Amino acid sequence: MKYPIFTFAATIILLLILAVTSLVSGAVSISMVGVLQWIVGLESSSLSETEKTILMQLRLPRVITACLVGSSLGVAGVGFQGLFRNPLADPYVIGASSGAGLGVTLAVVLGFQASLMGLSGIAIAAVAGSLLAVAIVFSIGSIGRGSSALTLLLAGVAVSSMINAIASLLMYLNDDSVVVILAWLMGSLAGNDWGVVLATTISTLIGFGILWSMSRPLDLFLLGDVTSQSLGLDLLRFRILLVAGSSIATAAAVASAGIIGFVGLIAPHIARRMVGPRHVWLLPVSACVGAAIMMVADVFARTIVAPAELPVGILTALLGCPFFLILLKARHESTNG
Amino acid sequence: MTELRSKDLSFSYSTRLILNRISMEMKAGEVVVLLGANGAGKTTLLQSLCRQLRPSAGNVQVADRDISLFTRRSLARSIAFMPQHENRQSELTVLDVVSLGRAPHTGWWLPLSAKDREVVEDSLRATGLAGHRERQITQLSGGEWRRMILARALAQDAPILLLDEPTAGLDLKYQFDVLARVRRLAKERNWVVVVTLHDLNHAAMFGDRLALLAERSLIAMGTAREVLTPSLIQQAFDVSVTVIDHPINGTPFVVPMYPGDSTVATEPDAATLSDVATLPDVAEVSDE
Repeated sequence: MKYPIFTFAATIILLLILAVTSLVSGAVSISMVGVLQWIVGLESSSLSETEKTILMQLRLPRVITACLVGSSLGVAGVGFQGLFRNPLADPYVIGASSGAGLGVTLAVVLGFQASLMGLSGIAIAAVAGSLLAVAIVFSIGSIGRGSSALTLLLAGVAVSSMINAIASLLMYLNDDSVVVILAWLMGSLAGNDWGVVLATTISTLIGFGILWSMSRPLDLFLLGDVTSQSLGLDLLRFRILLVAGSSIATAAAVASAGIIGFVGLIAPHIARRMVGPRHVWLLPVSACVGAAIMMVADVFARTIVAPAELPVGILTALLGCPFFLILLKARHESTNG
Repeated sequence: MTELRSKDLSFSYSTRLILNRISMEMKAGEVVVLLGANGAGKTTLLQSLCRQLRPSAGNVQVADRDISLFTRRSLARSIAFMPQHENRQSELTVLDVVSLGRAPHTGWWLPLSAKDREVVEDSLRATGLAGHRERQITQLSGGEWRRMILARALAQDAPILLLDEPTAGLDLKYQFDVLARVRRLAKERNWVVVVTLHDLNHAAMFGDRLALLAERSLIAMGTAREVLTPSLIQQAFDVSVTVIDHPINGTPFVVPMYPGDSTVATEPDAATLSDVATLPDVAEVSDE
């Protein structure tokens, strides 16, 4: 923990290795040597034109999207865990997932057709739904003098329940659309092109930039409202920026992959064990850890039942949970002798 | 010159009045001790003085300027507040926490300058924590934790220091230690220090002036001799006491008269006095 920069460098190297592994795996297997030659731009690359097309049009955008989705969830997780000073918080804690769910349901039921920067109508509806839900929760939770993180959390639970109920009602009344909606909500990285990559990159960077610039306030905020305020933090402005940054990052993930569970919860925990609690390192490392988890999950999603594929959101939880429990056990043992 | 002043300051939680028109002035270089029974409003007053709470009427001024006109950051450069409790469940180290005291000066983005780091190191040394800088705050004892919070307040380097029960939960050595440090700082750096305490005798020894709260109002403010009288103490705390002179430094010394205990109120005899005289001088302890 003494030199977090080395840990960060190590996670970057791990990411590169995972990215190459991810590029060569899939329904069509491509040679590692060929891919490496192609990456460094050698003319003599042994890849066929078809393989190059698969790499360029399918796998590379997909690997980059996985990376971006994982890192934005890792960053948003840190943001919300910081906001609530609660390790159970995840990117969906104040309504982003239920809002996205309702958005998707409405788009499917109403047959909403549109596209923006390669994003489908469903994805746009999901992002709009998730941002709108967060905005509603935040405005309800911040009303009044005694507004606190707890009020916000409770408002999140209440509003999410109501939104979920509306979405369920719509699905119940339109049962022929349920499969489409569920498939989307389970999360998938399939079908993302370079337009989606660009849109996701921009929102991930904005979300990360906002949160990273608040590293020190986030450290301070760990010590409580009274202390933060007495050391000069404007709490309302801080909360608005924190929710905005975290929600933009979450929206980036929702737009390109639907609802991906668990990554935003565990990436910050793993990162905290690697570089400690200071946000200036925690945020970038959590982004890398999130990206790594997503890439591994995506490789499994594409290969386990190839040429078919599993929803990646199911795999993140299936793979992430045992790993997380081992980590918790190790922590328990280290703190209890 | 008046550094910190409250003018007809009132505070209420919804309809319940907690503080009623408190007016007081505190000067640079003096230690003012706030006294009062549980629930008398000491913490509320302290928090109103640094805008943790917004008064329902009246105002607070720092160097003749209303504190509601300050930004949070500029207020943090003028007033440091040491709370009674704060969240200790983080894995930050002592150095991390004390460094955060520099935040009002450096802003939120810039790394700490060489001067900032020097101030942080000075604060760690002044509180005897230099050897603990890499420890996680969850591992600190109660006394170490309070000294760390004091170190952070020192690093904040604000000319007004408000301390909410800085000696609560400390054993006697650290109680004296903290109070002596605070008093020395007030004198050396010409700071205004306002501190809430429960021990009336500590208040008499370490405060230049005492402020006594009761029935939502400030019922007395002045030197220990003016404030620590049996009738005022009876009014504020509902206990009977006798006030004698401290055998060594001559400050008023409050002796409670426990119900049914007739021995307490009698004059101390010569033997008792000579025992007391062998104890180390308070000034000696404070200079350690």
